[in-house]
Amino acid sequence: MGYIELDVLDGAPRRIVIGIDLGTTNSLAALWEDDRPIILRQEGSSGIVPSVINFPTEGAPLVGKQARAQAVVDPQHTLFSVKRLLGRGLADLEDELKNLPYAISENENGVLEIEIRGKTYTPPELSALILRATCDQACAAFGNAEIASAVITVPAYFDDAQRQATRDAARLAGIEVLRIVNEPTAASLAYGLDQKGEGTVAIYDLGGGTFDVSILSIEGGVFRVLATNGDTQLGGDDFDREIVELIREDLTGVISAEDLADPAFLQAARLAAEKCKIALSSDPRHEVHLSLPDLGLNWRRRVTREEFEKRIAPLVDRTMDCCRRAMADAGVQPSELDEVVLVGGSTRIPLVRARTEEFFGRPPHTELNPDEVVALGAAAQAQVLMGGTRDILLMDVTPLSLGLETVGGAISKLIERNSTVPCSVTEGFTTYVDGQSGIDFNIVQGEREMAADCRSLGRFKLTGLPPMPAGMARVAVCFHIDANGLLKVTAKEEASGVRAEIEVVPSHGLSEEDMETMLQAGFDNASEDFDRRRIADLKAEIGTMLLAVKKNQAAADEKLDPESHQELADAAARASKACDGDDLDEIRSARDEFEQASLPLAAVLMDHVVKGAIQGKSLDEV
Amino acid sequence: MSACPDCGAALQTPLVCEGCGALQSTQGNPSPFEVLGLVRGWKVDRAELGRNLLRLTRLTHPDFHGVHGDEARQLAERNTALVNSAYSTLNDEVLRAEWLLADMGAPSPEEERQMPQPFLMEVLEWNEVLEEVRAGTAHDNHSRLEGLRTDLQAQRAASLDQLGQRLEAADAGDPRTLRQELNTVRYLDRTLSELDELALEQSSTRGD
Repeated sequence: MGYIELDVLDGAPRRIVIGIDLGTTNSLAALWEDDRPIILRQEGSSGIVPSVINFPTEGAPLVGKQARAQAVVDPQHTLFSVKRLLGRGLADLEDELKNLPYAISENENGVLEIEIRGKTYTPPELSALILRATCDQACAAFGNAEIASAVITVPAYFDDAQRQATRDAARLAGIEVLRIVNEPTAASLAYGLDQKGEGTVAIYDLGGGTFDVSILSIEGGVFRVLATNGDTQLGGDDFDREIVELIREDLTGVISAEDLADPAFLQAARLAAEKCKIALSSDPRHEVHLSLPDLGLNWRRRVTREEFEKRIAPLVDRTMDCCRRAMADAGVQPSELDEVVLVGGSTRIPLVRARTEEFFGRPPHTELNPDEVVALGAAAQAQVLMGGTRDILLMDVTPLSLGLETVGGAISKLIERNSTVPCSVTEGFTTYVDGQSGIDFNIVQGEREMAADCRSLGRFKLTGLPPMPAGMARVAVCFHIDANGLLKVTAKEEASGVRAEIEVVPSHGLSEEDMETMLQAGFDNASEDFDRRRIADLKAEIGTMLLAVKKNQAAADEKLDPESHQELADAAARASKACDGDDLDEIRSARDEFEQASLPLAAVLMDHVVKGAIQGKSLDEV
Repeated sequence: MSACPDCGAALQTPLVCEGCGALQSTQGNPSPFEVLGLVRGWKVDRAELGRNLLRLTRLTHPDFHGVHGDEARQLAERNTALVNSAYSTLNDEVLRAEWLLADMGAPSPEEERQMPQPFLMEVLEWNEVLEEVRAGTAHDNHSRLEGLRTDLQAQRAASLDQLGQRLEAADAGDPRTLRQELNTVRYLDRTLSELDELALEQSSTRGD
């Protein structure tokens, strides 16, 4: 059979390059195959990995569906929406904190730390777990594969710190990042390839935790972003929170204040709210049911769509403000748009559809699956980066202006928002005192006038200047934003030709030292991870076997005796089911059983090969 | 015009050979006109500018050079950044004029701050309108803003036209006058962007 052939002829796993949509709520991987991007999923599965992590009492963390299943049972050790914490500090998260059922603090470098079962984890470490699980699932779906490298998407409005944190997460997960691509841009690529659409397009991308709007011109395979805007703390989570607030208001006085803040209650309310939100996209009303026997609570409450829309209207209005700004920056009137494409699960909400239609003056394009389009576009971009095609070119922009803090806390702008990347600016600096050997500067990103109102990316310290009288040094500092939207700073003292050193102290990022420690910790935990790897390998093997059986289904139907046929079908179903879980023993025995059951089919196929050989065909022709 | 060291074809831009696609490493600071293969001057054909941008980007973009190693990728980053910066300089009339003024040794905005008194009085009047709208003391905010916008845009077009005529002339005249003319446009742009910001605020509070 196919699997055996592969094993005999080419045992090495195929190294694949994939696109990953690392989402707030769900993550998904796609691959370019046969001239188009496809979602990597196993038979009967959506391919979606919920971006949820649960830390059980013992053993490796659970990620995905199983972690999600633990949310109510084990709320304090189940993490949702980790993406919203990437590259952020405590001060950025005031509103969120009261709804999170676990302890978050900030370390001395401004990096968040989440404490679970006595251990602390940074957001990049947590995102790495989700990335790894997404890759493992992709490998299993593909069959005998390993990930060579990946294109990972981020919200277009992510600032430098959030992008760096995403890249750190990939590095911790052992994934080589080919490129960081903006989600709406990836979506436009999938849209353009699928619909052969050309012209001026608006992508409205409202996901689980973030909102982006991008205005693009698509022409002859060139996808050029004219302007982008957004809010990295606005998404479906916030709509859920509105319903949670409604529940809490109604239950105030019914149960105690402590119970209202109880993690189990919060998690149950959150899940009920999410369910309610989804139901209200198709039904005019929904009954929220909370049953928490520990709190003596069995409560029902009808929520109407009208009530929900009234609550979320201010949030939807915020997205419209972003649209207005993006259109103004792009210099495009709604009447000049050829298409409006909706991306992200939250665009299923009727109010969102109505408001976008009203704002852009046309019904939006909703034919593409809003959950898949970003991953598909990322896979297409991976194909370009691997040298597979030069027909597609993405020209993206940097979402936020980049500036330097000057005397008095004002900002001198170096790079304007919506500048096409890569872009560079070289600025001259000099010294203020005789013999000064270094210069400090604070780099900020944002649109406000004062540095204090923008996000500081970090303090950059220029050192190693040769001793000179004040004002004599001429230091040329080059600020370069690369195709990933990431900032690099280099400097040179021009009078002496000395290459000054730049030391970067990121405001909310992991230092190189932190990274090393974490990577080392990863190696130390290798034995713990060994089981996980073994599970992934077995899943991959089962995936390959399932594909092989599917490929040879006709031969099986025709040549196998009914008993072997049935056994094979049963074993395949069992193996496929075992892959949904993470139980090593169960998966191993399912694999063994499947292998046994596939022997008759292998024999039939080998027979066919032998006959072919007798008829004068060579093996590779069969 | 220099030739490509790889294939010998004449280079239309110092960044890349359009014959064989080899990226070139540039010395010094090529002008935005050189980068985009255009003749130096105030008048720029926008359509040609856009075509050249896309043609060059298709050759220089790092997306197409990642597989050729780190050095090639870095050169691609650098050269594409030069293409992008040249494009944004030439595509924007004010930045283009700034470049030409600097190139002919005219004073920078910091060096020549003086503006004629009547013009400054006019600036005060614009600011008054903005203040009244912001404070909500004017009755018809929308039409006042739109009226001011129309005025400012007409003035801006006239100033740029005048500046362009001087820049195109055989003798551009006193560099200080050129600077003042361009400063006028910068004042207008600043007020126009404040006006845009205010109009956005107004329309989002009005809820349309």
